[in-house]
Amino acid sequence: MKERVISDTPSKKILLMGNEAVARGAIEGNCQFASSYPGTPSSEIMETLGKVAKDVGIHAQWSTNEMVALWAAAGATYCGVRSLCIAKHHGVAWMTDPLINFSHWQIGEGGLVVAIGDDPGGHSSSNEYDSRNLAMKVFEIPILEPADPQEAKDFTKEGFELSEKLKTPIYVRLTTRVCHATGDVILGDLLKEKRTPSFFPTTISLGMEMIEKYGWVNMTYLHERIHNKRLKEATEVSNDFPKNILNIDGDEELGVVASGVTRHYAEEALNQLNAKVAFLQLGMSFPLPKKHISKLLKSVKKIIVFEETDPVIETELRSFAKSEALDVEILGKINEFTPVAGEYNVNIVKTSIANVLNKKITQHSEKEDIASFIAPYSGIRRIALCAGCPHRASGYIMKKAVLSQGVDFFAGIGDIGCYGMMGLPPLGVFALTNCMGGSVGMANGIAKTGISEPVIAYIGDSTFYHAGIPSLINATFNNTKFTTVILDNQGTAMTGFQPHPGSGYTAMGDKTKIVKLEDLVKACGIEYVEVLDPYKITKSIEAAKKALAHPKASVIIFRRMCSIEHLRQRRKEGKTLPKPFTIDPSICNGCEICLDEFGCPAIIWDGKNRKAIIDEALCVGCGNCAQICQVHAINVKVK
Amino acid sequence: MSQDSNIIVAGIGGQGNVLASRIIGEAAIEANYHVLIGETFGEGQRGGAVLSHVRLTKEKTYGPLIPEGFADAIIGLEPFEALKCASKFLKPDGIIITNEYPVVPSDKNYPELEKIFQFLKNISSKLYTVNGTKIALDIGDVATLNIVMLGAAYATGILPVKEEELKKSITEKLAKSAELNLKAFEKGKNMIKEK
Repeated sequence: MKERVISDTPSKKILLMGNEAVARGAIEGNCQFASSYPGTPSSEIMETLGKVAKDVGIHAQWSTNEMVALWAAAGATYCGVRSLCIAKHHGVAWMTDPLINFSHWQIGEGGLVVAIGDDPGGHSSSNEYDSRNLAMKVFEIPILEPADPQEAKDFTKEGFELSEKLKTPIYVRLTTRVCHATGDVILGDLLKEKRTPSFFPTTISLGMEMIEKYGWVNMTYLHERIHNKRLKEATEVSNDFPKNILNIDGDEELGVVASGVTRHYAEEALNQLNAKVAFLQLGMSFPLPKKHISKLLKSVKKIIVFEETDPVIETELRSFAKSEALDVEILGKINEFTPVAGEYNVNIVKTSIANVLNKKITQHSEKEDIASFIAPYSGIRRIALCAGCPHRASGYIMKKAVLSQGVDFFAGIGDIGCYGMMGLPPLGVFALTNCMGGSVGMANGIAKTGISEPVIAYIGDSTFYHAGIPSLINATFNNTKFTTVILDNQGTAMTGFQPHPGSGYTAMGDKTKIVKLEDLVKACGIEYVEVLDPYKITKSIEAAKKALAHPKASVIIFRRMCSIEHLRQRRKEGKTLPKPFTIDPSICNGCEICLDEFGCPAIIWDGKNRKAIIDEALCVGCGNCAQICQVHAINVKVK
Repeated sequence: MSQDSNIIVAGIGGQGNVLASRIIGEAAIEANYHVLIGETFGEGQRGGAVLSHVRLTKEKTYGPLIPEGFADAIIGLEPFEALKCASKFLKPDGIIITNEYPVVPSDKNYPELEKIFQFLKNISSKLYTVNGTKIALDIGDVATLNIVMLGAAYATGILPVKEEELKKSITEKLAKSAELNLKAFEKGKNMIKEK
């Protein structure tokens, strides 16, 4: 079936997720190259593009990390084709060095759109930092902030035009509520004429121009160009940007400024309040539209700014008001009038506006008796590794192996992925996590302090390809002894099982050579490498003990496909699913090891009979619990 | 505003509430609505609470999440999730349609079912309960629960869309098991009609 996202039906209204809409915008914008590393909330952009790439003449790839993705995307622009680079906000940190340089020098003749999913509230991230700070202050590139799927499509498409006009990467800043919102989108035309690639970088002529003028490449000149040329031209674009909308009569006392999805919150709040205020909506938030800002700030007495999550626009407005000596009070995060962190919503915006207008509002409140009935049970569906997850077995194995070394404490360090939950009870194999690659990185320092406990770094397969390799080489380089545990579930599981260099296929579904983890590890100088199947628990514990006892740095690779993906593939292939296990109540002695040390969500405690039981609907038949049961009470269920 | 419709599908991960919301959304586009759907996830991942907010508006596009106290109707795929959602989001004269069958977590820490229904009644005088899980199991696949509840919701009149559009959307989205799911829709619809 032809994917809906490429349907050639201009002006038809269809339902698209924000991420799909970005993909559609790229296709309508004649993008010919796209690259990304998976990250929630923006993963579905590349997933969508990968599926349709061949139909619409795009090369789409999952790259090993965001820095590589950005280099690749920018590289394509030097051949004159339009290019899209996608990441979540964490990935922008990886892009920082190349993006600063692409901003100062210049990209090729093809436009470059950088589409980033920020995550206010940190729903699926380790922080909620506002990447607009980097785009505005560090990269100094224009920022578009779509509010919904329709704008996600339109702004992405427009981004390519602006990029070529202003000769700069364009930053399309999405947030979770845009990426993951699904709405009606009016489709535009599909361009069928592709550009013929030709390698023509303008960088060298720019360098020569400076050498002739200054005798050497002049970094001050490059930086001045950004401020004196690009940002001035971009301000003109911002003044005329169709979604920079100022509604003002001139007699309002209060002005409201909002960007991205908070524009919709403000619109709904103003409707509910039926308030007469001036309202500036910013679809393009950097540079600010001076025309509208000037008119608004000169007209009203007070301004409230709504944006997620840092006071980026607010800071600019304050500086504008000060430089123009305008008598206007600005309310926002800086004076703690609006919440300084977290996601906004209609109620937050409404309350803030009502406070300034001295309007009384009645907020919905839950009935007390119902709220107190719910409260004790609000956390009943807790976060856990899935039934059959190989990480649970790997954690159990490592804990047994480490504790058998005669230590009662160990320095465990985790990383970014599903296996982050191995740090939680009952496994608790690490106590520290930072960012992508941080486990092996920090182990380099922890192990050199001279602590006596074993040092163990846990890292996922995709994370190792992404960010683990330099730190492992560093361990060899500096004679540092620690054990790295690579949890290889054969895909980028946490973001929806996208392929990585060990998967054997690409974003477009093409077959490719597998870059084997054990080969990589050996090439990093590690002499002791064990590849283990975590489903073979007893055997793996013995092998892990040896790896821990090795006098130099060692690596254990636990290889077993993510159980969710494994079952999905079996269903797809029409294969039978493994039979569930069951606990024989006449044998179970109620020791609770399966619950307290293993913690599979399919194992339930029957408090009345003081026995463990297996929930057949949740059990995926991995059989791990049967291996750890001390009295052999667990077996495959025979009907 | 009167034509606009704010509906939340409340359930837990794996029950198919995201799909149910998309089916409503597709049908609503045909009824010339602006559609915006958003999801919120609770404390868990798989098996955790999920709310799908469906906003159907005639003129304006709003943000994807329904403000507290502004939902016209709640479609509950699980009774306790329906209660949590209704308590927070349902407007004073709103409607609740919920599955009666609970999903109990592994430590069996779950509130008394009867009390859940008492409180649901307390919140809304327009409460419809259906044993959707039983109907789905009788049909032959528990995965059809979301469509059973969609049928029940349609029968109460809360969905401002045409029946044939919903069925068309079900057929497109569940191509492989369309027949089973259309049966589920009918069963759910009839459960309300018979009440």
